[in-house]
Amino acid sequence: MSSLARRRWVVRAPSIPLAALVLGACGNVDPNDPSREAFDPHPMFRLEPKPNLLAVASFGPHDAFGLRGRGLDPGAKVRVLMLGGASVYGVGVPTEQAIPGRLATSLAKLEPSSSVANGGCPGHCAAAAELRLHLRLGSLKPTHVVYVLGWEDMQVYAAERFQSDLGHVPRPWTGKPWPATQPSLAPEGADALRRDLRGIAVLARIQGAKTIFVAPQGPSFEPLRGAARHEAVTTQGSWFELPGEGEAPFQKLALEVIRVR
Amino acid sequence: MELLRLLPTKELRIAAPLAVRPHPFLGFCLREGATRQAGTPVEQRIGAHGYRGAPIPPKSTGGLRIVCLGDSTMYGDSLAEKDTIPAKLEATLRERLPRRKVDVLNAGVLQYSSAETFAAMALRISDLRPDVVVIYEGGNDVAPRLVRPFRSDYAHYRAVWERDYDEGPDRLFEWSSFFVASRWLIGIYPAAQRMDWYTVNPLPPSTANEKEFAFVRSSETQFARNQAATVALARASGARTLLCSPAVDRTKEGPYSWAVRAMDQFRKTQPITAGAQGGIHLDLTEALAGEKDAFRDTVHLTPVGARVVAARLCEEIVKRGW
Repeated sequence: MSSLARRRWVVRAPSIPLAALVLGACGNVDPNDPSREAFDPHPMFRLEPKPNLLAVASFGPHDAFGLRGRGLDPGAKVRVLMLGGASVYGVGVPTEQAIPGRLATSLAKLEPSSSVANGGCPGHCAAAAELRLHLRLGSLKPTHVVYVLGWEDMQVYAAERFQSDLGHVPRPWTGKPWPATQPSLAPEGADALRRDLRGIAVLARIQGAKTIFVAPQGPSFEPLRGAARHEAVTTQGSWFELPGEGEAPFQKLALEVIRVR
Repeated sequence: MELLRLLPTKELRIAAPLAVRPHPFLGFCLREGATRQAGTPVEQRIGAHGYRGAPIPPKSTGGLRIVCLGDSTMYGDSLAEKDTIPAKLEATLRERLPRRKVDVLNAGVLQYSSAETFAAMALRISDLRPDVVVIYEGGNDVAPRLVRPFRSDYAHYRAVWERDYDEGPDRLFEWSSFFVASRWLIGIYPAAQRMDWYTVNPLPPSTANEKEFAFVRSSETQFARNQAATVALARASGARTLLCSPAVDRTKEGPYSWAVRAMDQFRKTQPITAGAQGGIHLDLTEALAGEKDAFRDTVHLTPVGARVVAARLCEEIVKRGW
């Protein structure tokens, strides 16, 4: 290397850290993420469906509270607010085919004056649903709050390097990877999940609503079923296992809603 | 390069760590290991447990574990550690109850509104299984009411903290004067001195009339809801709750300032909230009314004010036999 080239490198070297800083900041943004058009980052519960959104790709539409579909009818006798992650929101399926839409169809046969709101949001675990239920959806006054446990709960509560205040969960769109998920819940993860389910039940009770926890089937979700069962007993709520395919499970869930009125 | 040597990069680096850091569910929280107002008589050290002061030891049978929740007034902004409300409460209670093991945690966080306090109760404090939760807040619920359109989750006011400037890779290059100087010049370190830069949305300038309009159109309802949820969660975790009405100095900004009017509204909701959720309401206005020099500004207390508040809290806890 000539002395001139060496001198150039000496001059340029200090700019490397600055370039790394700028690239680091830019690396946090993924402009191709389609969900950015349908979801906003939120300071308290990570993500929320964009309020008043018309349908974008397979997302939406959302009402003023960020509920997918038509929202909650305040005049209905039975008003069910369904919370959960991507499975409740129904990523990739039309609103009517998502879990709340199918429950609404089954429930309407038992109670014509009923309304089911889709409060799902991809990436939401029990803690996010708890915070959203109070901070964003606190004025809805549902008669039932149904929380559907899902894969997000395993991701959060069975994560490696788990922190009980859930500080290990990456903030949205920062480009940081989720920690690896363990096959079962560690004791502290199970305690935190039960704490957050209890929080949902307490906050639902403030709104005058009954709580139903719905746990999915399958061996990998057994830890979630255990927590749902436990908290349903301690909070005098109800728990339900979503079994099989077809309309039958939704008819059973609709019966459960009517039963715990 | 000669110019770089003239820059006080050491001082820039020392000033860098911000006292708060982002958190995915609390919005933000105190940064473990940070120090504020370092080298002054009112130096504030954040412990590894994420709060000011000493961590509380493991719970003992028959002991009394108290957690004090709130904002900068509870945290003790510009107060020495021994002069904060929780520190004084612990000292007073240990005198009054010499046979009991009393531990008081200062869980006050700078800039926390009732929304963040609620989230902290849900995700952090209930795990500590406190015997008593003391809530003293309200000062940071005023500013969100001066911004339109109002949202119940304060997301119209609170910023999403997308990137922490103080992560591992950022620290990697701090040996370089050029790196430190560059960050100073592009505004990262000066911004680090201002928490608002990270925790509050960049808001368009508004006139006093616009703020008044926003204030009148908003109400104390969300504050009351947040406090009701916080008390309910505390009760569900087995704690007794003291819901304190914050006192204000009406002389500093005048009786018609937004802070004074909002606090008056908040105070009216609190007996109802405490009653409905099984908490105890404690109005601290009377305790501080006759006290001179109790306030540093409209809401923040001096050591004298903190002593009076701690004495009143102690009296209530002892009287109730908690």
